[in-house]
Amino acid sequence: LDAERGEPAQVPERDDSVLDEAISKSLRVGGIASIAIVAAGLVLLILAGHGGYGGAYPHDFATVAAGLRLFKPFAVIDAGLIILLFTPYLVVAVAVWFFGRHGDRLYLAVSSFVLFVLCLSAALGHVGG
Amino acid sequence: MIDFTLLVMGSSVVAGVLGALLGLGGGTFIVPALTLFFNVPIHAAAGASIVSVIATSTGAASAYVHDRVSNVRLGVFLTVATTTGALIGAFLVGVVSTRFLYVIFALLLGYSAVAIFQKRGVELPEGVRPDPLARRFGLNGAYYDKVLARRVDYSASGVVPGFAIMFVAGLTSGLLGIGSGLLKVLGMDVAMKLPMKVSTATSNFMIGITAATTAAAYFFRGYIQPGVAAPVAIGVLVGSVLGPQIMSRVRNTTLRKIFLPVVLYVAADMLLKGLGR
Repeated sequence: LDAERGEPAQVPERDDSVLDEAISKSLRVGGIASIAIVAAGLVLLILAGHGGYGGAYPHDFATVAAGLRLFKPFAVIDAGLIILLFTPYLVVAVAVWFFGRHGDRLYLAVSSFVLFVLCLSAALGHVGG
Repeated sequence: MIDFTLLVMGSSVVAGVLGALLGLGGGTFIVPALTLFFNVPIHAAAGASIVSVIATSTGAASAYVHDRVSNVRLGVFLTVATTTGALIGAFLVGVVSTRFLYVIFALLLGYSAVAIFQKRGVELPEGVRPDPLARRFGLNGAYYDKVLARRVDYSASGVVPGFAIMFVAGLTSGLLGIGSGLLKVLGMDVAMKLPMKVSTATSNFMIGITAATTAAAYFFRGYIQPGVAAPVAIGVLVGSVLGPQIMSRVRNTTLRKIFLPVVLYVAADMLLKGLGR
């Protein structure tokens, strides 16, 4: 109501507490999952004394997935790092979901655009790599 | 190997704390440490830097968003500019003279350093003329300041200049792989006149998303070396969880005082790189 009277925008106009909670939770889940898996991989690396790939290390999903089945230290570390690197995707996807569910068309468009740029960059990065 | 791992992890904890406090990715601290003290090749250091940025963002923003110091709408709105800039920047690698960019970046930071110095005693921005666009996009907000023991309501001004600075921030992070967080904080603090804590906390939320634009390419190119990136990820994540605890106990003015020398340091470093040492 204050907003209608032209008061300075002191009162937040919407309640974003559900959005904040969902985003905070996805960040926490991504962070904890990745730190746990990276730490496990690091322990394996220290115990084995090598990463499992000679002097090399994997840098594509297929090699990581194959190495993961054999518990190769570098593959385990990479799996955790991949979860970390893709946590921002999860966060933006959660925002898209929230805005879509609450019929906020402006922010549905804004957040979808960001998700689109992220996916485009991943696709181009793969081709470019 | 254990020595290397533990030392890198220890330095990363410090980088994570500083990054979380100042809204930076920690690359500013990690890259020189890795290349100078640990002889890590520059590509692997750049890969570790991207990991560090996303780790800082993940750990710190989780707390800041929960405490509502990060403004999620503001962050999502501004990442439109940063991610687009980063994507374009990545394509301009090799096309645009980086020397020229370093000089521009240094000048921008120099100007901001003066603005920060002038505001050194200002706890909260006053007399901010709210931008009509800020209301349209719901960018105004409020947070509870534990040090001041009260709720702080704020509104954003300068949405267009702020958005433009974010685009440049994205561009430099795509092109040079640096400075993304620094410019984001400056854009919000200097151009949009937001409280310092909101600026650094929202920057923390944004840097992860911006960095994710280039992260996949870094991974597929093999810049992310597990032996180096693992201790960095763990150290930074731990540090970035400690950072927000410290932030809730310091004043906006203190935060600005820690920020200023970092800006000056990076400005000098960029200027030297631009002028070719």
